[in-house]
Amino acid sequence: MTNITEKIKLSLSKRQRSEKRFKFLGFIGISFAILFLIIILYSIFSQGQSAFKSTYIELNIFFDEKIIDVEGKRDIEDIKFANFRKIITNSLDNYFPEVEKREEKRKLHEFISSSEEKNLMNLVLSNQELIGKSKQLWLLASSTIDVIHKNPEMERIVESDRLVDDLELSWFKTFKENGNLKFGFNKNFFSKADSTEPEQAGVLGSMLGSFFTLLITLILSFPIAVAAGVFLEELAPKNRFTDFIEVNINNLAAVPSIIFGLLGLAIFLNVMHLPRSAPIVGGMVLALMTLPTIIIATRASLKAVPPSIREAAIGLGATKFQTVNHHVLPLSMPGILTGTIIGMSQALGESAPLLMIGMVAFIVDIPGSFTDSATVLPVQIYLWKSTAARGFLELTAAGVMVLLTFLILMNGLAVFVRQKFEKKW
Amino acid sequence: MVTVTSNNIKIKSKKISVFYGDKKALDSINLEIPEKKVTSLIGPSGCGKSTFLRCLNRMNDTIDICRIEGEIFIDDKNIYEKNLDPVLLRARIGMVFQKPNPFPKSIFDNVAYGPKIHGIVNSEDELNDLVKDSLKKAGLYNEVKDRLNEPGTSLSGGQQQRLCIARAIAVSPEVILMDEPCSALDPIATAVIEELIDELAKNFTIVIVTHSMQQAARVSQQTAFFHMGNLIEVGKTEEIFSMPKQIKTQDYITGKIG
Amino acid sequence: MKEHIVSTYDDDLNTLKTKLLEMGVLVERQIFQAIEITKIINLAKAKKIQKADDAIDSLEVEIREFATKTLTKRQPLADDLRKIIISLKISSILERIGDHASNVAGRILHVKKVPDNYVTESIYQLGLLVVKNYSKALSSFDQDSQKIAQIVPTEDITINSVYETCFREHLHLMMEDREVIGFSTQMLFIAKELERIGDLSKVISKEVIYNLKGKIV
Repeated sequence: MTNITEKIKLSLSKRQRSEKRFKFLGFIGISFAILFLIIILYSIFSQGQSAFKSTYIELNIFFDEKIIDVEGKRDIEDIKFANFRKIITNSLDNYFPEVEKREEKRKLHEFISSSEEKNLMNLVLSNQELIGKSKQLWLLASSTIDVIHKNPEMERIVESDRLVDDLELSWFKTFKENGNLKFGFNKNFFSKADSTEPEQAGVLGSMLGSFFTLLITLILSFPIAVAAGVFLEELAPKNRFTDFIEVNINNLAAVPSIIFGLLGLAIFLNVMHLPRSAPIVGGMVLALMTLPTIIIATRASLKAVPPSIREAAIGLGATKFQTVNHHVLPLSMPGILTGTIIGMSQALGESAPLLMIGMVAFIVDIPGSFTDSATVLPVQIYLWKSTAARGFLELTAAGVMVLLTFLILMNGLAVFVRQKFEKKW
Repeated sequence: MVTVTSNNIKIKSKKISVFYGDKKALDSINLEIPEKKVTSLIGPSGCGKSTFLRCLNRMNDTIDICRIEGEIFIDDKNIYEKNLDPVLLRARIGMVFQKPNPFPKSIFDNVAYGPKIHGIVNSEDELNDLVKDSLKKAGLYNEVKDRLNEPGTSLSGGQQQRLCIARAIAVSPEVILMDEPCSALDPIATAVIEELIDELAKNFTIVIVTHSMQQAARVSQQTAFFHMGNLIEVGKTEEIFSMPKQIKTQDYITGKIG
Repeated sequence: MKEHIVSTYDDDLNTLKTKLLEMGVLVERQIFQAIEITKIINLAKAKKIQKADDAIDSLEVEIREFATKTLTKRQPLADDLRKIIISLKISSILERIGDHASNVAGRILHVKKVPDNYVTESIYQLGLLVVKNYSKALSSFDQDSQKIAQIVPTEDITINSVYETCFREHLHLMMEDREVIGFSTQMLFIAKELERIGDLSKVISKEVIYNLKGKIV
């Protein structure tokens, strides 16, 4: 007996050492993962957080009746077509009366975002008594000014490499020193779709696009996948044919997503003539892609339900369908929902298949229905990243933040639903 | 093999053979189960007694590689007839399993499930009465009457098994099959279940598979001994355990190498 | 005979049997010695026989305890159960036989000397028959033999008639000579004890047959 104990003791230290090594490796792995996570989140956050604020310049706006409503009829059509740009440029000229050269004036006029023309028009339309009066208003600055404002270190760069020349810089500084330049909340970010001007670009369009698309994906893939999984696992006879189907479903889950895009292009667009770039088509394509994931998760969850429950139900005289519906499915819901979360999260981040069906496009309108043209968040982020204008840099990072938040919320909802099911067990 | 009671015969098996793929699990079993008595099936592991039990309510149908030859008559009707729906059969024959397996639902819902799916009751009140009655018959009502909405899985092992019995009798079966119902329970819970079996035998025909010879001797009136897929001996319980006719039977019950 | 899977079960049953046989042999010796002193009075031997009965009584207690333990441990069925039950019965019978043998010795102690005109040794002969039949009964138990067991009751009929003969003979002796009355009375008592031993031996053989009668077809 002691001989054996001695032998065990000898091997014990070796085993404990390899155990410690293993634990150490695991710890290192986790630490690296956390480290990279922190780095990623930090870099995204630091780049993106500035996107949530915009630069505003305060100007004295004179609502010149001669420009807005020459005939004095207060006709809406007349007001709509008035030259509000002139009103803005007048204010700018008044601010810097010493600017006289045409070229310089042009530069000055670029300080204010072009979107303010429409804003002023709307303002006048709803407050017609403003006509003929002056008002101090904070107007959205253009992206270039916004960038300079957000990156003070740019002021020290040599003029030839800088975004703005020395003259523009001096105007900027003047505005600032006079207290007519401030940061405000970026109202456009959550209310507008894509735009050529960074200060006017927002994520609402792509958010809604993603939302509609994913909604379609969920509505299509979840019931079909669960039903297919139930059929294959519980009700179908076990023969070569069903084995063949199973192998194919497993392979489908590994197919590159762009293939589904090609399928969507060929059938949904070219044969069925569904609207291009619409969430409904995007949803259908993504549904095809998500189906195998959910089917596999469904089958695995169904398999995991202990046979004792099935036997109890069958022993009582329940049909197979009743057994599955009343007992097996509710118990396998947590697993099915996990698979659904995985599938939906993948779908949220997809851009390649949507490329094929045209959801990679410059969409300025906010989609209102499933058939309006739209784009999705990951695509929007990609588009912003590939644009040259400096102002889009922070928007890209902010877009990523929105995408991540979307993802976390979606997962959180699914986890909540799953917990509700798990409580019953 | 003839039974030695003069009661009505509830179940009669005729040359029942069961194959799992190529392996023969039961060989031409002819056994009669008398009505409203307890019949116990004993034998070493793998002898086929559970397989035989599961033939009686066609539970073996759920196993794909299982093939059954022969006939089983319940009240003179062959249950392996082509047209007979096993779902209907299982409403007439209840089953209690080795490990208690209540549904992950409330105690009430567990017992109510059978009556609900078979449409036995017409109203909420009827259902309540039926559940109460079944729990009383299973000797569980007094212990759970204040917590019918708690999950069935929150009960102890012995209570869970009684819940499964209540669930089985709620659909008023004529026969109750029990597959080693006490093997997962402590001696006191076992004694409670044995007492219950005595009571139930007044109204139901009971067939029980058991590993405990003492239990078979205590609860049953007829005992059948299976060995390697064959029915070796069947007879009155007290005779089987005091003076069995076959050597194999004696060797098994006295614990000799058989 | 097939062995139990649990080998200590067989050991227990063997131990039980061994103890019973041990007891049976002791009893047999008691009977034999008691018979001997009916022929040649020996008061010292008589006292020894009485003392030796204690050992037999304690063996009975030992056997009862061991049988009870085996019942608890093994929860026996069928032939094992019968075996243990008759062990209990036989041990109690042996104890009674032992008592009877001891009583014979006790009777001898009341006798001081054999009267001169007492020349019969019929009691002795009766005793020899009894001890022989007892021995057969014990053998039938030892060998689980129905054949031997069946002889015992038959022989007992002979014993009973020899007893009757003995009884009548001594009655005559007493009627002829008043001197022997005291002695003969004791002899008659002894004969009765021997006859009782014969009956009890028959009971032993009956138990053996009961144990074997339900034997496997």
